[in-house]
Amino acid sequence: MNEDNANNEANLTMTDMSEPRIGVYVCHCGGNISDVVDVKRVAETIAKLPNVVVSRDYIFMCSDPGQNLIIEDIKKEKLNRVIVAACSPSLHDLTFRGALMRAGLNPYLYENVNIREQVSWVSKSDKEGATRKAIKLIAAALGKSRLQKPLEAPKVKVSKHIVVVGGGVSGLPTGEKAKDLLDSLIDEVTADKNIKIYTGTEITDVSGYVGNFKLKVKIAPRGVTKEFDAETEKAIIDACPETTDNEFEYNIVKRKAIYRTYGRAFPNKLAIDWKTCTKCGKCVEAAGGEGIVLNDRDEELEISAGAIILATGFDHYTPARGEYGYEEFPEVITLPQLIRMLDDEGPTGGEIRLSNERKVKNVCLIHCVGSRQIEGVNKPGPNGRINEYCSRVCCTATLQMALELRKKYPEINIFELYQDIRTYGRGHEDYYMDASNEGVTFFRYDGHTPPVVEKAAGGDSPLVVRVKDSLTFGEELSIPADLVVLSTGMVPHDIGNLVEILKLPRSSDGFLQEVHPKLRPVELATTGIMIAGTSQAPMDITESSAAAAAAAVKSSALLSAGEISLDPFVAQVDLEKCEGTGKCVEECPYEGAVELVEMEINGQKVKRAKVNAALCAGCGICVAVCPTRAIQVAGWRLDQYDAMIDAFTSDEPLDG
Amino acid sequence: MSVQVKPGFIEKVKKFGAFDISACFNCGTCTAVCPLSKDDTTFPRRIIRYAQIGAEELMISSKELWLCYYCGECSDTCPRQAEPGEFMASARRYAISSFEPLGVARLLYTSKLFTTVFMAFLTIIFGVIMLSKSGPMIFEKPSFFSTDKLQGFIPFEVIHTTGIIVIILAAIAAFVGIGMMTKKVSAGVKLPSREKKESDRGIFARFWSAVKYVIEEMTLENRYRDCEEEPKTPWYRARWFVHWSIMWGFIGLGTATALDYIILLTVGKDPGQPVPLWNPPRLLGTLAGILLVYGTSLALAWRYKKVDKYHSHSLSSDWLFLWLMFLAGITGFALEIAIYLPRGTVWGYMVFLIHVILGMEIVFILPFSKFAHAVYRPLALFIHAFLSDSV
Repeated sequence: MNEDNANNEANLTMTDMSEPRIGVYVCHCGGNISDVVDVKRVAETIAKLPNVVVSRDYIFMCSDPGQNLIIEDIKKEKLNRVIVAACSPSLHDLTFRGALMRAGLNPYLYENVNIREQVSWVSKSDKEGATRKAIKLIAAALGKSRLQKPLEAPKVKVSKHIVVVGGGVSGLPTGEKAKDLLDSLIDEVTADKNIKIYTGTEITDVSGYVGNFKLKVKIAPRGVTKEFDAETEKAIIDACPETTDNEFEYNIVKRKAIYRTYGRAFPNKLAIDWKTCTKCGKCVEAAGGEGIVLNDRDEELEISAGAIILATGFDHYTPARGEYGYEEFPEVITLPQLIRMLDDEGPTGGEIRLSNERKVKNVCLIHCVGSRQIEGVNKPGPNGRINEYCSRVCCTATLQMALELRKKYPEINIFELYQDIRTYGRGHEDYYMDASNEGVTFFRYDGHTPPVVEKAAGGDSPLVVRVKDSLTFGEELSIPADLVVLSTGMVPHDIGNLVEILKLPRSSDGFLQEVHPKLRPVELATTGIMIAGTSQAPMDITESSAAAAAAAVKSSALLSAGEISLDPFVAQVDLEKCEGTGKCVEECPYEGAVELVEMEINGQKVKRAKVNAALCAGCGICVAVCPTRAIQVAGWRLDQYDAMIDAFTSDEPLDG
Repeated sequence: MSVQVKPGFIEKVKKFGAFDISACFNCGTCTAVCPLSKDDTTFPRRIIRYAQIGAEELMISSKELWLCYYCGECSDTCPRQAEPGEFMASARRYAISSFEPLGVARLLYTSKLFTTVFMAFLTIIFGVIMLSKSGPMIFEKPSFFSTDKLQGFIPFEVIHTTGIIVIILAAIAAFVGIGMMTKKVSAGVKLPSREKKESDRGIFARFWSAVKYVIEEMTLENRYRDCEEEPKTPWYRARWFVHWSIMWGFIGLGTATALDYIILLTVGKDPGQPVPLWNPPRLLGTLAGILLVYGTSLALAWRYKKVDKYHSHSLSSDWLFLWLMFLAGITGFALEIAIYLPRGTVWGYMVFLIHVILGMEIVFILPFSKFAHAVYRPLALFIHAFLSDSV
């Protein structure tokens, strides 16, 4: 590879650039083009134009024989420019640039003309017009090609570090397996010498570009600097007068301002919640004056990294007050709350416990709460959005919990209200079969007529769930309920100002959006930033793990060589024309891509524009606003545009 | 009006038969393969669903319950072995017992012990009544009874009076049941909407077409004949024909008895006197008796052999029904022989006693047992046909 590059560079200098010798190749695309465009006539007409040394048509230019045709012509005819009129540049620019390189020519002396998507496919009924259009487009490309200069792809050195933001296997179901999986993952990560973990962090700023990101990180202090024995720890926690909702337990219990998160948390240590703490000092007293620091300050940290992986996860949808009776009736809880209650290590010791201590006989589980919402039926959330998407994991999780309920309480009646059972994962359908076998009664509602949770008029159960059930032929049913469980979906995790800092693209549902769902599924538009897991979309643990592995491999492939090549089509400043007006800096949408820097010209200290090739996207806005025409995009210079327009406006070669 | 979901209802229906509806996941295969489920009357899935959610009123008032003849194809093809056919039969039993306020029907369907004790009790009671005024067994010539007051082995008056009382009691119970059923089923019938009512037919036209529909269904068993899955079965061994022979055997015998009584009242014939075979009531009775014995013996044999799904889940009520009919038929023929013997015999008189007791029992338990479907099925079909004008 290195030897190849050396050869190519040697060849580059040997190429005689003074007189353009252009080869034009018109592709049939196996009939895709040639059925509409008269490719022979196009090649013959183009052959007559100045600087055209070779003009051919061929059935498949992208095939090996097609590419070899170009290579042989370059060698035999001493071509120094190549134009291929074929399909879209996104498909085969790299193919033909590669062919030029193999023939010893600078790859950026290649020019594409798209006569498939832009001509034959859209002009099927007008063959003559299509042929004339193809000729015109190629003639314009010739004008551009004559002025094309060899370009050098800028290379940047990269830092071989990757920052992963977020830590967890996203996913809802917490069967024993998932817990053990998390434990072993944490063990593996903490044992790895090459991984450094910062907890309680917040990213305050990110600058730089692919290979050279700089992250400013704020680390909140734990407030506790020492491990206490169990007795002292209990005394310390008991001494704290401030209580708040325990968010890890989905607020079904309270905790103190000084607290231990939960048994399997990392790190499993005592910490102070600064939002709740009033710094009264009672805990310090209980600790004997040592090991607790109430005036601890945030720690600031700067990390440099070549790539960033965002694994920021999801939040559970929180129903609005009154949505399916949530927060209105104590008997209405969410699925995450039920999961915590049924967990033997959980805050209720694995028992259902309602705030009013009622015994539970009839349990009603409602699917699709906060998912598959319909405009006009469901009210938008606090973010103003309707969650039209399916959260994908809740069906399986709900069925799993129905089975768990059945196991713990064989006597209760379990009702499930769903729109569609979407247990799409491998083996997940078994949960539905088992639930069915275990006597769970299913009801199917339409999203346009969601169930209604109301106070019961009489009877043993305090609530009644009314549903128009399509399994009972559209009959409206009243289901008695002592406990209503809302199977809440996933919403994008609030990552605060990180969205603005990193200019993260989000799709209409609020989740981070990849460049292309199939071609580049874990990459964001900003090179060097990847996404993994539920920050991208609702997915289960299996899918999250696959996404995480993909993001990891993509990142390390990007950084492994120690340097990366960037596109050469970036802005270049002509220092002779630049007057340092700063217009380009004002209008540039890519922060840091162009800056005014001080330099000495003819003994004078002046400010001039300077482009950072790694950050420039080559969009050309600076070119448009520069009052002195001092900035241009390499490969797309203004004189090249002039030449193309000249070719379009001239009568040649069609009528000449 | 919303339907109350009542958990635990299935458990109540389960006492009336062997099925496992909680295994059902509403796939609808049963309805798809059912040769009788057509157009807007879809079952068994619909009725199963009603039971699953505890919609008792919807279940017992549904027409579909009575359109099902338990061909068994649903049970054969059910992917969950939920036995939908057996469920439909159980739901019918449940419905019958819920139309009967005393609770005797419920016990006859669900308790073997009660059935045994109850039938033994009836046998003793009727036996005691019949023998209370009994005359001597005469061996010179058979003399079973006589219209002369309190003459013969069992005096005609005793049989006649007891019979009338039994008929009246059964009729009262039956009418209560019919009233209950009419009320409950009518409440569940979805009436055509107002707009449609404008173009509705008159009440008599609807009544007449409903009666015609029910009679046609009973005589020809059009629907039951759709049930046969084996076209190769000869008609005389087809399930519908066996059912038809039992039904028409029973009705024929009832009619013969009534005719005999009318002749007695009009012509004044001595019922103790033997009549020739061509005598219309006797001819009818003999032919009907042959049908009855033929039908019941085949049905009994199939149930013992468990030849198909339908015959595999026999409750005590099924056995009771068939055995009573079969024995009544057999003793009837034995009686004919005994009458024509030149001398009276002990076994002849005993057969006579048993025959009379069986007859009384059949009539007495008619509204409480499997016999009741003979009233409820046509009635349900009639109510639905009449009210919804859907014939």
